[in-house]
Amino acid sequence: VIHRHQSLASRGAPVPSRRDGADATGAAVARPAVIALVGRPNVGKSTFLARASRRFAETANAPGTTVTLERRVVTAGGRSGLLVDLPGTRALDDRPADEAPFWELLLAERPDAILVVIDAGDVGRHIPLVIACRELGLPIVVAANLADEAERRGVELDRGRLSQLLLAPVHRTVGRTGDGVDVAVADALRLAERRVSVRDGRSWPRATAPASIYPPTVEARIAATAATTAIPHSLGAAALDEAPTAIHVAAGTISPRGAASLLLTRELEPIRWLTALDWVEQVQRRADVHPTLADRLARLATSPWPGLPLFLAVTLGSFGLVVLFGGWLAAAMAAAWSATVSPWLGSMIPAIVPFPALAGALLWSLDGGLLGMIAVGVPYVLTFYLVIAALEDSGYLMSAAVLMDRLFAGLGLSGRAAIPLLTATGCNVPAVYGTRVLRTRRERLIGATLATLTPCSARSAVVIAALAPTVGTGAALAAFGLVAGLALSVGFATNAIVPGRQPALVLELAPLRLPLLRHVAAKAWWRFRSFVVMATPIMLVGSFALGLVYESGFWAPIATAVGPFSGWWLGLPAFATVAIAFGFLRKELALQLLIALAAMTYGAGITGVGEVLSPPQLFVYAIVATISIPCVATLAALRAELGGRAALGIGLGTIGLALLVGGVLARLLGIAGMPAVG
Amino acid sequence: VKAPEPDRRPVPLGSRVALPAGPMDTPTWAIPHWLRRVATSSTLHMSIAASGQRPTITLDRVPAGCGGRVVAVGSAHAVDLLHEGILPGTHLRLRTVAPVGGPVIVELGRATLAIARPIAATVRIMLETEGSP
Repeated sequence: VIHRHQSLASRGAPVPSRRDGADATGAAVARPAVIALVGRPNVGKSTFLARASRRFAETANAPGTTVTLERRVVTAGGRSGLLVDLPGTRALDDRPADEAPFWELLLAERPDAILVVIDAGDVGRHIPLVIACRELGLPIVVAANLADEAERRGVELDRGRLSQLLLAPVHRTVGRTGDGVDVAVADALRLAERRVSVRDGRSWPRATAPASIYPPTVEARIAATAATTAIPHSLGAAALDEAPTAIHVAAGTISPRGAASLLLTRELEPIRWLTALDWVEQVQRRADVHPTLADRLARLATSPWPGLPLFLAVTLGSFGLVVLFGGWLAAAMAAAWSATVSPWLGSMIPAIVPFPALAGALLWSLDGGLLGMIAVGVPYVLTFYLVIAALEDSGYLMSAAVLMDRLFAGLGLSGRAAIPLLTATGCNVPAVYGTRVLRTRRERLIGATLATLTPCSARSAVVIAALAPTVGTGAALAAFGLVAGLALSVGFATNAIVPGRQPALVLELAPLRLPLLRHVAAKAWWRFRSFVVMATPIMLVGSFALGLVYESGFWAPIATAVGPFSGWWLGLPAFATVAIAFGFLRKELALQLLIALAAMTYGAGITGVGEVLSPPQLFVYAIVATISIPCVATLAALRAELGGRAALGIGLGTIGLALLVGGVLARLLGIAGMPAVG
Repeated sequence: VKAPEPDRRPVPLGSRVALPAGPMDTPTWAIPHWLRRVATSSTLHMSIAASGQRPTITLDRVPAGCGGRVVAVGSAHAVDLLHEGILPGTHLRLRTVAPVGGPVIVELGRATLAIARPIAATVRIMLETEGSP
């Protein structure tokens, strides 16, 4: 309860009571009108938010992409306000992402109006949530989203009739193109502003027609509960303790009847669903159209045949695309760099900088470091982001994951875990936060462990760039297979060790959608840009520091300290082991530093790593770099989500696993005990 | 079995349907318990045709392609199922069954749901349409 008070207080504005309006003398805090975006999972709220605020928002064709709140200032129809994107929810008392029920999240934002986003092609599923929102006593505006998709599927929606039934404006919107988004937001802002002015005493509430879908007996119960909910302020915190809804009634966020509807939700929800069944008959007409290609593909994807082979083909195809396109891009860019910038830097820097050691270090940083970025970061990570963005937006992997539900069950996870694990192939950090969609702590622990063992785009780039051009594509594939096998074994082991069982699931599958090129490009570009902005300085500083050590003669003591163990156990030169350790900062740094070394000492480009390390060494190197301790950002996310002990355990566990596997591999490949080079 | 006109409003509004809190309803048709256990869906159909009543079977045993109406939902997962729109009166169709004990994949209007088999076993269906397997 204390945190509830804090969450209300921390919003800056004092909690206004309903009497504020009467004695308002202009001192009332000017708070922007707040509009909450509410809707079932995967109905396109984040796309809607991005459209309304004209700024990118992280989206995917998968339920549960948004697990944190996102607040944006929006302007439409000459008004402005705050639009809050909430996690998707199936009902107001659902617990979508955390321990708290959804309505607590919603009411903590103190919305002045609710913009309910529904699927125009399947309104029956969404009407119960709209009714529930309406009963809170807040003005609502309905956005019948995904309208283009509905029309393609021959679903016709009588928005006028729906509006009559819901007693709320219903707008046709298409989030992907932005059709109708501004109009809907403007409408919500209008209603919200009106509510704010009523609360501030600047205007009178407008009489509204009573709207009830309930029979008299239920209605009487609601009225009785509402009477007990309106606890006067003077009763103090003790009374509020017992009725968390009462605090919101006292603050004027919801009506007493709204609070009663929350308290009686178990009783009211079935009636809402039955009402929805009834209303759908009145507002929706379905023409018999040939099922769209996407629908037919979805059927194939969720059936064992040809679903499973298809899944294998898509996975291998994506891998091949990254290897081929990324490899081509890397070779072209590295060649261009070596031909033009590199010689120029090589002649300029020693001429300008008088100290040879400093000049050398600068060369390491600017020439070798940037070459590393260009050879690994840019081509492979960018290609990977593009592939992942396209797969995410299609919703395909989600459907396919259902077929492997048994596999997840063996790992102690529900099929829901597919969402964070798919995210993890892009980046582990959002994946760790994404484990919030899992219901139990046990499941989240296993999910987070597996997410950190899933090669993210940076680690995949390291594996592919280190192995594919020098050792061969097969070696890269083998490395991925080995990592996948290890992750699965760890999952099975964790499931066996950690007590408890996984809960069974009911999961709504995302429909397949053709990814829009513009969307995919925007998403990949957005992630790529933040990658470059984050990674380049670290790369420059990291390679500068290492270069300084190398050029100034401090390398020898480090090599003698690390070398024996590195050579004896992993069969790697000290330099490779230090590079792997640097990967703690950013995973791709591990390889980029190696490329910098190759460039600086052998004068070779991307294929230079082949001259620093032999093929078996490269394989061991790639495996150890991929499995060993997740990057510092992932560790921070783990600590934030699961606590310090779990983060420490996962971090140390991965180091141990990496060293164990590396040592065994080194012995199998016959490179253990090789003298340390460098 | 001929599919009759689907009854879209099986329960009059407001008749305190709430959540079926009690144990699952018992089927009204009389087939000995031991026979029910071994009966496949086709034998169920035959026995129903003979007795002139419509079958109710649990969702995990509905053959692929068949559709029907939910007549009862067990209390254990009722809230979760309700949030996905599965309550007495809704129509659904079984699309496929995931291999090796995986979930059943059900079409509910435009939506597609994956329901774990233990949960599907708590949903009782009255078959209405016969699908092509």
